[in-house]
Amino acid sequence: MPIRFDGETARFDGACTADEAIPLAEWTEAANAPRVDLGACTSLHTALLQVLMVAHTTVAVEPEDAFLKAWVAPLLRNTPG
Amino acid sequence: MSELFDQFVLEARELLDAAGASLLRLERDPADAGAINDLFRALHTLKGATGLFDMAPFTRLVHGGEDALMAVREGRAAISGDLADRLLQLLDLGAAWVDRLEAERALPDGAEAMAREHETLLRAALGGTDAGTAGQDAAFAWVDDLSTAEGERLGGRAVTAVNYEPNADCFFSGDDPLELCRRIPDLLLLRIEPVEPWPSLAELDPYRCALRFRALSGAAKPDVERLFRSVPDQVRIAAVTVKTKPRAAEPPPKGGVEDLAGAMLREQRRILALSGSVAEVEGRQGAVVRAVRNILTALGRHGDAAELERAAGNPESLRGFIEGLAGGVAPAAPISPTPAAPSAGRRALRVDADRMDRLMALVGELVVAKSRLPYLAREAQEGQRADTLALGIKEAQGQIDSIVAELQDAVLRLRVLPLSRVFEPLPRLVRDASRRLGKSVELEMSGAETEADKDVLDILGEPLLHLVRNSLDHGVEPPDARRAAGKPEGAVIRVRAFQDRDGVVVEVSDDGAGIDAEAVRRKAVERGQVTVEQAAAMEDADALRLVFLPGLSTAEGVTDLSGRGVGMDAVRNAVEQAGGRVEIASTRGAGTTIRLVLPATMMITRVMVVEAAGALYGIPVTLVSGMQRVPRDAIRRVKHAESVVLNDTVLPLLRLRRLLGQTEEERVEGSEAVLAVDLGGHRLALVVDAFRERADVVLKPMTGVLARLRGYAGTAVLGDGRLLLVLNLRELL
Amino acid sequence: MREPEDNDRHGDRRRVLVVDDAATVRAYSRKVLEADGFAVDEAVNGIDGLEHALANPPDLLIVDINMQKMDGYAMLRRLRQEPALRDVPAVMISTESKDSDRENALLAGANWYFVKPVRPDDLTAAARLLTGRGAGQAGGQRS
Repeated sequence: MPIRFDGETARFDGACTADEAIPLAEWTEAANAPRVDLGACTSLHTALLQVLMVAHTTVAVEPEDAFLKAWVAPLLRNTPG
Repeated sequence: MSELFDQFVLEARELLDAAGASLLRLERDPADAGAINDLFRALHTLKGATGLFDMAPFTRLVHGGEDALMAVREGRAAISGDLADRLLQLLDLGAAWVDRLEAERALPDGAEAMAREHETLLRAALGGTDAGTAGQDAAFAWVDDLSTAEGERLGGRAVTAVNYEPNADCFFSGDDPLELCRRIPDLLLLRIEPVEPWPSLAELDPYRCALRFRALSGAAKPDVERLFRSVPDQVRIAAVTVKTKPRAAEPPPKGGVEDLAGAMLREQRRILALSGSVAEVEGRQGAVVRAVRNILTALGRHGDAAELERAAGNPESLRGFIEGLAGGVAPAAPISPTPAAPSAGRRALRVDADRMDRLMALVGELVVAKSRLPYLAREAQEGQRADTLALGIKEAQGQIDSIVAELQDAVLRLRVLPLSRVFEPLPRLVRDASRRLGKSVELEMSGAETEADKDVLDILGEPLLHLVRNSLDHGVEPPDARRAAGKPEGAVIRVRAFQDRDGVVVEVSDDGAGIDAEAVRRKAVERGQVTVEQAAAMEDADALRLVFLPGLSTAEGVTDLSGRGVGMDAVRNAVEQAGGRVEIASTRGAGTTIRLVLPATMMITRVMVVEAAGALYGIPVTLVSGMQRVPRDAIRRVKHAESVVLNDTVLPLLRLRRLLGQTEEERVEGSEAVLAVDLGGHRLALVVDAFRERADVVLKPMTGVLARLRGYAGTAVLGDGRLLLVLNLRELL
Repeated sequence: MREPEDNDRHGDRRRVLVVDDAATVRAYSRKVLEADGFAVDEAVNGIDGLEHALANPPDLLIVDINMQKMDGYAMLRRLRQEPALRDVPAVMISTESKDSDRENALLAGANWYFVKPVRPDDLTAAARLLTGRGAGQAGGQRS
């Protein structure tokens, strides 16, 4: 499984596809302060990104992937309402 | 400039609210010229205010709205639902920007592009033909609007700009826009933004793409185009040059006063040449002479000023004289906006000017009264006779007493505001929700001028919104259901406020489906909140009150409007915390009325004073629905539970002594003093030793070790100095 | 040589009456002008402005055009018929920058016209000139 839900933290691993969007949305809805570990994420589907943006997810572990680190992670750290 | 900025925030909010209200009026009645004028004026004033600060995008945004209204006012366009939507969105964006300005002293990044976009959308909604070309121009406006850091990094570079707005259903054709952007060659900048404001998480459909992408690339345009060849309809690509950002505003030009003086003198010459009636011309001439005299004096040209007095007698010589003065001076310097300085934002309380004046007048009286005291002190020192002195002191005391009492009253009144404040969001709520739900709903409001303490208003706001949402959502039936029931398709929600003996009453009623008392009973039993027997024994009116219990929402489905988990119990809690109560009445098929009763002020609590075991206790009168002496033999006892019939209703009977842990004492009286208490959904009878008076008290919360005692709302001191414990019955029971 | 009358008023505190329905604009003008040593009165529309001016004749009027009840044009026209006020210099301020607006302002009785927003230095310079306050008293607005 590319995304592992671990209490309040979701750990993304490798290429994460649109198939994960519904489980991710359900998990973020249930979590109080959802955090994501993007350390090992190499590719993030747009569908997943929008869930993370709406859910005000904070980044627990920064992605190592340069593209995600430069342009995507900043959106999650301080997403305005 | 911080005060000025705060003033702006305050005024901008008011103007946006006023504009919103006028717009709703206008949408209901497009022929309402008053509404369009009010709306226009609000935007116009707002535009002027934004112009004082460094917020050109805001001015632009408001200007766009003003332009659209001008078209409507001049009959070039009609106010459509679409146009109203756009204008409401514009006002919403304005409100969001004001919040942002208050918090961060700056508009969000991309504000200019957002303003341009609204302009374009408005033009489209007006049905203008230039929407397409304007869209082309505006599409890449964001490139000119980069943040300072981005501008410094990219300033002056020729780059390829990408506007990528994926179709909402693009995921189903296998597109992944984010991954596509990853592949943009020499990516310099990527902005990922929601196309529309985010919905709540619950409303988000993850499989509809709600994001758009803006990118700058260092690669050539054809290279970038190649990447996006599979989505040509969703992308716009252009070669652009990033503007170099100026570091700071230019300093004002030197010699401005001289230039301005020259321009002003030329203008005075022009004014003299204007036509008009004799009175008008003479009026202008007087003002011109004085203006010119002052200008010359200010410039230190006293000789010319003296010359002016000689020339002023004759219009011709005056004109010639001023022409001579004004000749050959450079035109006035151009005008540029002023930057706004930061300041700390805080909540402001709008005070009615009359009330402030009254306060000032009282302070003045107090100063006068006080000035008597040094005089009395001197008399005392000089050995004035004691009785004369006493008389003087008494007089001064009487005066000061009455002023202080008035001051107290005046200060309390400062906090009193009309309910219109909490009514304001309702028209918009009803409009948007009825559009969304496909229901036709008329909102009737009355009593907006009713006044209450600011704290009470703050508490009232949320429950009121909730009740109206509830009516929209669950109360009002869809049009076909209403038709089937033989009702008019258009439903009515009435919000009514008025002042009552107990305080402020706010009623929300609808002519919808009403609440099924049987369904409420069933649900309460299912949830184990009452037993089957209890439910069966309940009158319908009592069963309806069960909806105020946690988790007892009657509607099967949960819609987006009423949200999840927040129910009527939240309304009840909020109102009761403020010392009020909630009442409900509903008839199947005819509608529901919910009534909130709140004390008009929270600082003063009106209590019923009762006696128990030799001490005095207070119970908020809002909770007391009756009091009477009941013969002992009318009290029925089953095992340890007692009950009594009051006003044809069987109420459980409790004894205050026992609740307080005091022993019962055998008394000889043949009757008991019984209070009927209404705890909102829970009615009971309470036996006390004796009734005392009603009193208005200032409630002080319990402090120190007492704070841990349960069952008390606080302490208060009665007029004669006796201490009173005010009970929190809900906790006590 | 006769000392011009405006120099004798209120010592050095020239009185400016700002007439505008936007509270922010009034506050802005007050701030800028007070910082430059002027005394400032405020009025919220033309009628209010006339009443203020009659009760306490100012040395200078700064008047907005678009106001409720009585607009700036009407107010200035009325004021120019009032013996005690007819020669008080007046500046009109508006968001409109068309030549016709300027022309209308002058026709109504204004001595000068500014397009909003007015830079503080321009506002104080105009106020100083039109109230005859010496350029020798140097310094724009203090902040």
